[in-house]
Amino acid sequence: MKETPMDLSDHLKKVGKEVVRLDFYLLKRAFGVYYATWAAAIFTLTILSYISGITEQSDTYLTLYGLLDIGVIIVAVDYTRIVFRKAHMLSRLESDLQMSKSFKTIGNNVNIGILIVLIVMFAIIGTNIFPGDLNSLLTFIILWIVDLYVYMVTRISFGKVQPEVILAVGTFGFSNTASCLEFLLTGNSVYSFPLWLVTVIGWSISSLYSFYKAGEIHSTEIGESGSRFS
Amino acid sequence: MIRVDENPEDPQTVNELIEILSIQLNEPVMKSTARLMIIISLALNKKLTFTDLLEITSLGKGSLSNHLDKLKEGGLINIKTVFSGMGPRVLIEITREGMLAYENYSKILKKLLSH
Repeated sequence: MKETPMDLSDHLKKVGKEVVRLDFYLLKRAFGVYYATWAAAIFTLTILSYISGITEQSDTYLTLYGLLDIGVIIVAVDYTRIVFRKAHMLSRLESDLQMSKSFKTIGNNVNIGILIVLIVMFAIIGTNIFPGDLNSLLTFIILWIVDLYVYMVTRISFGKVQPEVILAVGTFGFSNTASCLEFLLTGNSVYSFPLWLVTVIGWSISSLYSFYKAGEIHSTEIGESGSRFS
Repeated sequence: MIRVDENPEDPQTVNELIEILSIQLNEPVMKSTARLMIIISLALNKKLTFTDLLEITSLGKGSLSNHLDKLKEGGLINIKTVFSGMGPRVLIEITREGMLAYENYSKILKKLLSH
């Protein structure tokens, strides 16, 4: 029997929707790793900065500290790229399946715009062309944009606000705001370890919660029913 | 032949695109879905372990291996064994040709659903 456009459309849509349903578990798990990676990175960066701030260090220590900083950031940024790519591809497929110029499509465009702004701003700050105070203030501003960016990506990926996202974005926003206030009041531009420990704890809990929810989705969506096509 | 609204810059019909996709996957997309599901999942994630794909497709190990072999023959995926702290794992990675097959699927969806 010859297929009609409606048969084709329904069939291909069903396959896509099924993959989206099953892939949700993989994305949740990937975000669990993402939160854990950044919790470890923020812990390493702030505790090393804290130790350097309170004790006198040799040149060798400072060189190793700088290298470790760069290494940690490279690993965390690389994993971020992988997770955000997954999120972008999933929302693109969902958008294709719904065929609407919805929040997802608009959000994706906004996301790419924010990403470009972030990269340009980090590159400018990295050149140290601004006076120290302005450089610190710009860094705080960029970190607020990063916070907003994380919120948008997760909001678009999961369709609705997730508790672990609120915790991650909230604690990061708190640490950044508190650090900014500390800088404005005391002139201390070194990231305060106790303030950022809040973010480390928040992101660690978000990571555990993501893994827990991924496990739950796995047992309810995949474990029992599996693919509806097989 | 099913003809849908055609973009002058992209004159392929849905049927032509489906035919291309079926050749790429080495199976008719309307008859079976396993390879299409594997390609979509890999396009979204770039690479997945054999265990992940077992869970997503709910296929048996032998059946999944057969589908993966066919996709590898077509150059749509790469299969490699990596060693991690938890022992060796089979990693399946989508190739450029695989991404083209996915883009083809995406194009078909857009054409069909715009009506």
